Amino acid sequence: MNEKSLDLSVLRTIFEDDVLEISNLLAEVAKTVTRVEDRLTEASERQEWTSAGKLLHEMKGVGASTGCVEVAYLCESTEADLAAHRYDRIPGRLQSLRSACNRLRVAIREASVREPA
Amino acid sequence: MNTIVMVDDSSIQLRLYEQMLKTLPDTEGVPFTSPIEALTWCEQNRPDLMLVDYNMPKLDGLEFIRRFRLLYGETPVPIVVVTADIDRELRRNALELGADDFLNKPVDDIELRTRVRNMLRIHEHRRMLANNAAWLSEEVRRATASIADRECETIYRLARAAEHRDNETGDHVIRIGLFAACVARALGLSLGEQELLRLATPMHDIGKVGTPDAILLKLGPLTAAEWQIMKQHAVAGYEILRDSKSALLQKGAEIALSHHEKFDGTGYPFGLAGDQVPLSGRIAAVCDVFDALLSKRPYKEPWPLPRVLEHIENESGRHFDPHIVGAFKEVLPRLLEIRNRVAAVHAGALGESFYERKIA
Repeated sequence: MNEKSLDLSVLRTIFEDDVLEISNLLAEVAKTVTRVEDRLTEASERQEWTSAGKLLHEMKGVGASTGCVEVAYLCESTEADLAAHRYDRIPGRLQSLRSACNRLRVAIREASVREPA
Repeated sequence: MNTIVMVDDSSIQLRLYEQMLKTLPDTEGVPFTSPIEALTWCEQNRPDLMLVDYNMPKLDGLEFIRRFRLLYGETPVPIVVVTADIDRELRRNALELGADDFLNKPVDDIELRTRVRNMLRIHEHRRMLANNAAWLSEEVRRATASIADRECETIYRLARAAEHRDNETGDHVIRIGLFAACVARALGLSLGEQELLRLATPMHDIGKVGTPDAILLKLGPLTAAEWQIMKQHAVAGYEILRDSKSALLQKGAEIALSHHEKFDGTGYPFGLAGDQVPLSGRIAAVCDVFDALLSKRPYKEPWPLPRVLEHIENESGRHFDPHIVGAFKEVLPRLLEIRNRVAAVHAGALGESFYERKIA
């Protein structure tokens, strides 16, 4: 598992190593990330930057709270570019974010396989 | 059990908060992804702590706090705002609206538990203070009412003692107070003024304690010299009651001094006329004469009601203020009802039943 994508120690501390709870929550994280990612793609295609900003904020919050370090970091960087109106950088940022999301999903799958309930 | 309402549009965040708070004893988390639903819940329930995300769609944290603060009056429920923003303006606005503390996202579980525990403690202390304040306020109210009751009872018994010498039952003092309050109501006086007159008018003849029995109880007509002594009871009553800090005794002094003044200026002790005679004295004059004429006295038999009413009518504009006579006539049925009620009860038992604060 790529620890840059998913730092499981965060959830292990909160859930006191309750693997079932951790798996359930990670499944929800994966779903949320996919949903937000899709909506983010749509928003950026339409150049709806306000909506894009809100979605990035949401994904950053979920990522930061659950140990999805890379996704959270990329969301924050992209948010900063949006806030500074550096729109030319956004497509590249989103591409990196999509890759990070893919890595996260893999990491979540791996974590669930490795730590059965 | 402490109830913590948690509001965040992210169900993942809520799940994390719930888990973080699990280790706090006697604490129950109630999660809401919709701030509107949280407010609706709070209309029916009172949480001990509110944990609210700042950045939410539809209703942001600031608007939520504003609406939440309208729900409860005293002892406000503490609010902790969770935010990823460190914007000073935002925090200031939240504080102004009533936020008590902030937590930064991502929320650290130890920090969350510590702050929540502290906030709950503060809330508990606030609640205890509010309860103590309410308890103290109730005790003060009771004590004040008790003092006021004792003051009224003392005055009543004093007035009755003065009255007792020429009126065995002493119920004239009760009736005249009730009559005065009824007339005052008909005149449009405030409830406070009505109550003051009800309690103060019984003191009108308190100066009679200094009037010799030979004069007070004399069966035949008084000589001119005896009249002079008799008249002194107005000033004597005033002297007994004056200079008190009690509004009730001040009013009693005013009535004692002025209830024998006449509207046309032929009364005593000063021969005041019209509005120069205090309103309380003018009211007491009508009520006193009405009740005295209907009652048996050592020196007279009771007059029949028609004769009494005729006398009062004839004296309107002379002895009595016509305006007061008008009010008196308006409430006459009520005055007669009071007279019957008082007559039906022995004087010894009157204290309780006629010491009602409100006039029915």
